[in-house]
Parts: sequence; structure tokens; C-alpha cells
Amino acid sequence: MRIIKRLKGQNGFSLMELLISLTILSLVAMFLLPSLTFGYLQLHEAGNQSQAYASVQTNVEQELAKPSVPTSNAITIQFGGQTISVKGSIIEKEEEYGTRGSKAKVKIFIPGR
Amino acid sequence: MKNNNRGVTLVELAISLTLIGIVLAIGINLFFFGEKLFSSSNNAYQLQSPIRLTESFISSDVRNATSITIVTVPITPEPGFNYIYLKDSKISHYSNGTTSDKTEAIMVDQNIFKIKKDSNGRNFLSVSLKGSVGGETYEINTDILLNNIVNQGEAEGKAVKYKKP
Repeated sequence: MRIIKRLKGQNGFSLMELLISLTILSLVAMFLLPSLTFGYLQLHEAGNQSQAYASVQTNVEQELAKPSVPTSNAITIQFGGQTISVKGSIIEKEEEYGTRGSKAKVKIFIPGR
Repeated sequence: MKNNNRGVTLVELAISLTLIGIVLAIGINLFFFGEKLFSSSNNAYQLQSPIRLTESFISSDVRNATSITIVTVPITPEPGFNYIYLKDSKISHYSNGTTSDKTEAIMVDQNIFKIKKDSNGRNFLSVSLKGSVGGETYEINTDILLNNIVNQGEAEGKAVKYKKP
């Protein structure tokens, strides 16, 4: 009895209120959607990264296969109080992957070349 | 008591049912979208992970081989030699009398190895691994410089026989 009495005084939601709440609900769903797709996209990005690194590896291997030519280039390494100088060159290979312009980069030191 | 309750009109009922229908349709779609996405992600992971690991294993194991040849599948193991081959959609490794599968049956049946030679006579092992699971495909291609092999003729196939130093 008491409940029915209380309900009598209430008008419920208007159509406008319902529409507004639905709009808010869909907005929240829209913002939550990217969190669902994030894992999948990251996985594909990781896959693209591996492909790019495999491709960079090919370029590095080709560089390593080139005949050795004596060089005067040297890199110096500070090791404690000592300075070590090693003849050789640093080769850098990179490849772009994915949609965000990320790069797979490999830097190697080839001694004596 | 009954006289004071007016109930709802047919229009109100229709509108509320339509709204509930819309909300449910969105909810169900989201649920199935999430489920499909999870399934695709799972397939992609099951493809990428073994292919990446296998590529890495081949690179490190074959790089310093002292002899390498392309052979046919099924392999006929010879003592002292290691084999990596594609058979029944799986990549397997044979060494010292034991065979271990590097991937599940996900690989596409194709020539995965190619021995190449550059203009200086240096040999490379070109590896092309392609897999497919539930509509997802993934492929990794790379060349490995064979440190101890020179001037070997080009060849391609599904299996390599090699000797480690």
C-alpha cells in the first residue's frame, strides 16, 4: 500500500530524459570501444615489427658479407681511466613499419672495415 | 486502489520496447565484436609466436654451419648431420636421433629454404616462413649469412641438412 502510494506521486522518466541517458550510454560505449581493439592492434603492430626486424636482418647480413676493406675509421671507448680505440665502422640499418611510422633499427659495429 | 493506476499507453509501451531493443542490439553487437576480436587475437598470437621463435632458432643454428645442402622431404637422417624441415604443415628439427617440432601444424606448404649466392660468392640461406590459422596469415622472410660457406650453388626446397662446427 505504502509503495503504491509512493509510486503514485512519481511521474517516471520523460522521453527526453531517456534519450539523453541513451546518448550518454552510447558515448561511454564509444569511448570504451578502443580499449577492446587495443590488444588486437598491438598484436598486429608487434607482428609488423618482427617482419621489419627480419627484413633489417637481411640488410645487415648483406652488409656483413661485403669484402673487408681496410679503414682508418675508429671508434673510441672510454673504459675507466683508459681510452680504447678500435678500427672499424658503425653501420645502421632501419625500416619503417606499421601505421604510426615506428622504425625497426639495428646498429652494428664491423671491426677493421 | 486499482482505479488510481492508469498503467501505460500502447505508444509508451512501444517506445520503451524500441529503446530496450536498441540498447540490447548495441550490447549484443559489442559482445560478439569482443568475442570475434579475442578469437582473431588468439589466432594471430598462435601464428606469430612460433614463426618468430622458429626464425630466430634457424638464424642462430644455421649461421655457422660448416656444410649445408637442400634435401627432400621426408628426410633420411645421416649421423652427424642436423635437419630442419617442413612436413605435414609443421617445422621440425632433427638432431642426434631426436626430432622436435618447432611449430604446430600451421605452416603453409611451400619451399621455405633457398640457398643464395651474391656476386662475391658469399652464400646466404633465405628463409620464408608462412603460416595460417583461422583466416589469419603471417609471414616472415629473412636472409642469413652463412659464415663458413662460399661459392655453393643456388637451390631451394623444404628441408636443409647441415653440420655444425
